Amino acid sequence: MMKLILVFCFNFILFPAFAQNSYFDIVKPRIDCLPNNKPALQNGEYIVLTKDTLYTKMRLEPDLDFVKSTKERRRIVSRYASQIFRFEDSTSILKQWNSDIVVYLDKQIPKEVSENLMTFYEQINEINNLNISFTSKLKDANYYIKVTSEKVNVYGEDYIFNSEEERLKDIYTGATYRIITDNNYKNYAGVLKINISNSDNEFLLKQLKQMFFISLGQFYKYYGYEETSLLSDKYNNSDTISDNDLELLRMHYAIIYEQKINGNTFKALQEIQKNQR
Amino acid sequence: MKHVIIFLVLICFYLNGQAQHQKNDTLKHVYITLKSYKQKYKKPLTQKDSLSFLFKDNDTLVLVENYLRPNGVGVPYEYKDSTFLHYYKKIAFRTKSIDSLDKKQTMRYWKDDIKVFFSKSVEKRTRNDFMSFAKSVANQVDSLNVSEVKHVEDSNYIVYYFGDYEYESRMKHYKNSDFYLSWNKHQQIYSCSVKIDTDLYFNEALIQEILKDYFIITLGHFSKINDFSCESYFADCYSKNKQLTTLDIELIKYHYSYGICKGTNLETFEEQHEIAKETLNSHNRKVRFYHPY
Repeated sequence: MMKLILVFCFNFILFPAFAQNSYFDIVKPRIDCLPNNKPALQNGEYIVLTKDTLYTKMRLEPDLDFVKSTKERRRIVSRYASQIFRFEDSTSILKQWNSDIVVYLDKQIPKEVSENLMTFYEQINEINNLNISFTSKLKDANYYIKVTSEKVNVYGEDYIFNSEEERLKDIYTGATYRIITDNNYKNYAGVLKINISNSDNEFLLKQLKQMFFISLGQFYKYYGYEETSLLSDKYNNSDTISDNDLELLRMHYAIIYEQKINGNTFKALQEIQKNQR
Repeated sequence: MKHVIIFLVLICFYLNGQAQHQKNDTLKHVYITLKSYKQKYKKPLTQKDSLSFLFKDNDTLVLVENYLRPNGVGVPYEYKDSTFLHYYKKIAFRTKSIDSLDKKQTMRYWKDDIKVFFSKSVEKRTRNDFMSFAKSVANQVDSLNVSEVKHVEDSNYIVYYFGDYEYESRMKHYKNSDFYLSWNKHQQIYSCSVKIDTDLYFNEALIQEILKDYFIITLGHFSKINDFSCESYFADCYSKNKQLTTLDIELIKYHYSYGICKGTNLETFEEQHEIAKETLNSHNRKVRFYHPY
């Protein structure tokens, strides 16, 4: 009996360590409804139907190098984790686009601004799993940058700015966005609403560049970032996307996760990465 | 609970006979539980009755001679493998894990034909796309019929947009696109209203996708689950390539099959399956579900 208890305790202690030793222990793979003539996962689950049997599709474990927090990468990994998980381990869930983003720009946006915005975002076409394109037809889009005559005030009426100038220069003065997210926290459509009545072209371009970038990962802006970052309160409206911003996107879109990812699961992925060759 | 289960089984299962519609015919010998006997006949048992008592699983079963069965239909129990049933239960009983609380959840279904009314704001091509999809589903599922109606009073499924006449007052204050289902005490869904925010679903493609998504979910107050790949309508994630997979269709067909009892909770569903499978395995006997009209 004593032996039995010891074996039980031993298994109980070791189980969590063994249970999460692969990416698929953390991010449970989904069952593809593959007919039985396609390559399937050995020992994977299968479902018997009336006229067919469905098998789990084979998947390769992804390379998790991007979560590695080495000395050189510590700052960017920390920035990424704070942007996505807001220093919360379980309540904040990672949101990413799981379909190509096709943007339609309202015709009321000045041509110069539209063209600059499109040129600017061509720079991120090398990011895996993130494809952004522009269309001239609303029917083909899943992201609508829409001009509105409505007053847009993201901050509440009682929010106090240090000055009127600060209020006018804030990107959320006159602009907001809404994203359609599925139950797995993946984005697939959105509308960025902007009131252009009080904006000059330079500010409008800056506002659109920042708002659009924020909506790519539901990021937040922060006063402490370098002014070349689109997420900085002091963003300098640079013509190029900073290395840090690009790295955030690379990390964010390295994998389109099949399941929800929170701060705890992200940490678990970092542990798994340590054992990957 | 055991009494209820056995009673249900005796009502639902008819061990002999053919799969066909039957008018209220008389069965020569039927055993029912003591409790059910007292509820149904309200007359005292005699000494003669006690001679034919049967004892099974701690229950006393009473032999009823010339049992008058209500009008109904007998259909063979539809056997499914355990993996299929695992996912079916998560979807139909809206349960994420099997625990005692979830076992009280009931499955819901449409008893009557679905009659769809679209508000004037819904574009013709979106109406056509929706109806073509809905009919393609219904054509593959027994006892599920869908048609479009021109007058709202003839409908039991309404599709409308924010800013239209408020067809479902309980959705008046909804800020996001959603649907509202109503069902009776037998868990039969008798109405559904779908309300779409076209400010966010800004083109016909997005509207058509969400309407099809809602249609599948409202066929049985189903849950989406995180086990299937995103192409499945029962997956909780979006895909540009949503399609009715063979598994999706089989799940809906099973939900509407007469080979299972309708409107039950998860606990009863599991008990019935256990008994039906046991009968099949141990007696190699064809178990039938009897559904009174």
